[in-house]
Amino acid sequence: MKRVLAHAGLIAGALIMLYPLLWMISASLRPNTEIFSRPGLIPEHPTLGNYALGWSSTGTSFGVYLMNSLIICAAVVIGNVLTCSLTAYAFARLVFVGRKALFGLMLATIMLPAHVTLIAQYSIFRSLDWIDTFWPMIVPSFLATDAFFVFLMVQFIRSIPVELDDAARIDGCGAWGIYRRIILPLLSPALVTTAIFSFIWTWNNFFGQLIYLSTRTKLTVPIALRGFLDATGSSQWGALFAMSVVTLVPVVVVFIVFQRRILAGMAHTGLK
Amino acid sequence: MTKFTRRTLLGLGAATAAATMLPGCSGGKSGPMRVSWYGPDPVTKALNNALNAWKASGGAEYTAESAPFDDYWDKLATQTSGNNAPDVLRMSMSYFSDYAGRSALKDLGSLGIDTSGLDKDVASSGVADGKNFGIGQSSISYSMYVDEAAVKQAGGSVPAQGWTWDKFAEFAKGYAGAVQGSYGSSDQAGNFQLFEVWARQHGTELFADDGGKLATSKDTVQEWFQYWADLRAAKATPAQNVSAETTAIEKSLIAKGKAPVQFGWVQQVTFYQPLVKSPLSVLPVPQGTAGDLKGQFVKGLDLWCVSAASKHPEDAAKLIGFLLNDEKAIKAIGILLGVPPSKKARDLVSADAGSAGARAIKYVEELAGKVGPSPKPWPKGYGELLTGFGRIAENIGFGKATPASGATEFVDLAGKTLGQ
Amino acid sequence: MSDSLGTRLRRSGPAYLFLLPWFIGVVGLTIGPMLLSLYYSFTDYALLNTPEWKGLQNYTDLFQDSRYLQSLKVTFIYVAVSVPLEMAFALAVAVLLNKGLRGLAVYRALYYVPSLLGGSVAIALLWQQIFGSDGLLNDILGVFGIHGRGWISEPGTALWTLIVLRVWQFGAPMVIFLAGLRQIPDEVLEAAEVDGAGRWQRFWRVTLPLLSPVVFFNLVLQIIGAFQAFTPAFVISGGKGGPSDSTLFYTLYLYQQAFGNFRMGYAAAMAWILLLIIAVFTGLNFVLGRRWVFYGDEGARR
Repeated sequence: MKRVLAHAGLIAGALIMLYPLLWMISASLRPNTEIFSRPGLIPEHPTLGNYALGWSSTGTSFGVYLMNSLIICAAVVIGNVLTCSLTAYAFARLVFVGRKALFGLMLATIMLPAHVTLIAQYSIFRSLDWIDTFWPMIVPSFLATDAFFVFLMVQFIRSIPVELDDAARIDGCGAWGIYRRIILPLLSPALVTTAIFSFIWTWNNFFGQLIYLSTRTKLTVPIALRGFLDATGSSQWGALFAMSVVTLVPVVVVFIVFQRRILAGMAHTGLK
Repeated sequence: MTKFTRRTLLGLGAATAAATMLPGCSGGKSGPMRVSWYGPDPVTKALNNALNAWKASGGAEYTAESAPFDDYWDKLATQTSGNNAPDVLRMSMSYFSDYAGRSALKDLGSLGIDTSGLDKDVASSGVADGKNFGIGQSSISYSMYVDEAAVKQAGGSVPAQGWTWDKFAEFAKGYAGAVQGSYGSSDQAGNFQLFEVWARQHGTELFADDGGKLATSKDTVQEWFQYWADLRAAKATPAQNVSAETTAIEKSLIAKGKAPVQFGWVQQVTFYQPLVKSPLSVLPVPQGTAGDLKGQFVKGLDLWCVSAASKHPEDAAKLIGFLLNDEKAIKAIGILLGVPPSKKARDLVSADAGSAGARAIKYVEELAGKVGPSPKPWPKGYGELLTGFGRIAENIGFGKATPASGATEFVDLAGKTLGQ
Repeated sequence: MSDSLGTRLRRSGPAYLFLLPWFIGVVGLTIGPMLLSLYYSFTDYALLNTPEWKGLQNYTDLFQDSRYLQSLKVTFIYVAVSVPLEMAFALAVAVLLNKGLRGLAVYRALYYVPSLLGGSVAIALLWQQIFGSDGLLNDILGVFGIHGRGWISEPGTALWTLIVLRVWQFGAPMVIFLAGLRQIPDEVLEAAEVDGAGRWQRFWRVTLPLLSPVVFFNLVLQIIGAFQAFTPAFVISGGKGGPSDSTLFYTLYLYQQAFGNFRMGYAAAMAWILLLIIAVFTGLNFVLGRRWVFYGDEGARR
């Protein structure tokens, strides 16, 4: 009985959560003019035309944008998982001069709105001749610049019992050994979380990609999506929704595949 | 102490700037010419076709970039500030002086762009301080679009030259009363561009010619806000929250059949027309005295400019000339950038008579002799006034301000933004 | 205890090696632009010119700017209401989804869907369809005979629709809570059960303390994130913060000043004040956190 109730509650909740997705799919199947007529989820004159239109709206295939986004996101995931865990390990477990000050500095870097540092960062990347390349999106993630993930991992590492480190140290492990053998495996839920968020947030991140990318064939999904709308002209709403649905597919896949790993995480650790 | 902090900071700033900028600036690495514009996908497609024609005609190498209007300005400001502005760029009059006035644009005077075929007001739209910083892409005037069939069905009629403001108010109230659940017009209280026409009808330019300070009076602003407040009170225009929900073209009252009138720049009729069943007439906006169209003006409000730092000024100038004068380019662009700025171009593109585009072209051509002189480029800070005016009108609509206090607030804002 | 600095620095060697990528990032990409923005905050900088020194004027101007004060108010309300709600929601659902019910993977994915949409423009339109004057919400209220209003288009309620949006997108903290819950060894909970602890007791006495570092993380970061909230208002109000500045978030106003009005100096001053505000809240969190956050390395360090 309790189970049924729990399921009923979860399903009701899921419907509220799911409504936007259904609505978006429904909108993507409607002709442009029908999108703004009265709501309901069932399209009157369903059509796949929006998908065809959106896919090749600018003369460049939408597949190009998807591929560019995938490349950037994959690289960012790898960068964040690698370098944020290194940094977090040092902050959480190692003793060094200036630890508190540097930790404060790290947190401070996410307290300043990005809009005011953008111009100067643009100049840095320009001097490196990286404008209109993927590097400004990718390289920072290999330098642990996203303090969100560093702090996340610090918190997870700190809840790992320190006795495990001590045991490893007795077995002759150094700092690197402890990081590799103890911390990394036990950290996997946080690593997977980092991977998921890195992917999804980069996938949706718009401002940086707008500023740094220019050539049509180098553009990414969020820029292409905004191209369907324009305050000065008529917007292609149908195409926008169709391509929004298409761009959801990779993130949903990534989420489902990776979140399994969160759960699997514990099974692979030595704690069980 | 202050001094110390300041010097330290300056030092740090300079060090960072030096470290980051030197290699880029000194090298002068220059790839092909870059062309950049704003606009929705159809504009991008059209301009790419025009650029293909340029390539086919043996024009210099280029790369193209584009963004929707709102995003374009963030990117252009960053690029310009980072010393990496595109060579040829599309510029809106709303930001023209912000860029021209800060030496971000090149004087085109010596570059020999052929503007002989262009309407005179358009060719000189980008002239500031005696220098020509940009050339109009289109001939634009303000206008209103009227669903005449709807008006006739409600038992009204539409004067060929449009209404006077008084008659328009009467009409709007009458229509709203006659048609259940409908309004006489959308609310234009926050429309700063329409207000410019109103200001000119009240005896002065919106901005003074010298220095670009606000020239129109507080009373004129107040009367404007009052005019629309009265229409709103009479339910001839909708309540403010409805207006707030109907700003997008697709959700506009006229598209939803809830009002027979919409206002906008003339070429925008082509965006509304597909959403309205019967043909939309393009009319002059209301006047003070019937038939006196001196408040209106014809001008180029989107310009082709060359950035001051361009390393390809000659090629850039040639390309601009090509886009304005070449037949293939003209045909590729059509009316997507607005009503074409030359007689030749208008004749080339107005083939399908009866379309909304053709009506827009006809409107501009008929207006040409009747309008007043075109104003100087809008001053630095225009963008801020444009949004500020809309915000103040919204406050009045929600009852958070009165037309009088709103007018004071706007004049203060203009004083702060433009200098007293 | 009182080793010389030299000795301590030598011992710090391995840590610095681990920190090397981060050091490069901070020095090469982060610190310079941050300090430069601090400098801008004392200047008149229009993006297209060279900055001109103005001293403290940007800072003093701010507190006479009624729109600035409005943006502060809007942001504080948003933080104060949305963060606790979102946290509570995320934690409750995470705990529920951590149980052994069938098909949980599906629910988890479904509950994350809103967060996948992020700040997509589709959200803007959807929110209007739900909270507009002839939207879904009013249709539902109409069934109960309640006459609704333009929730999203009236200054009195617009901010609340954005708060609903944030609470609805609780997926990120939920996933982090879930990851934290997975890190709690089952043996610990089993041991507590053997000791006769009830369901609630186990939650309060065992789960929550063990989860506290993660709760702390979410709290700190959600507060920072909410103070910096930009995308929701940017997308839904079309960058204006309307109606009538009722959704004028702090960073949205900052962005308007920097890029719309060419006042980067003013925007930079705003940014540094925000940094101070956030730093105070974060500092407070860390001080209070000492009382309720329990770490696995506790004792080892002190």
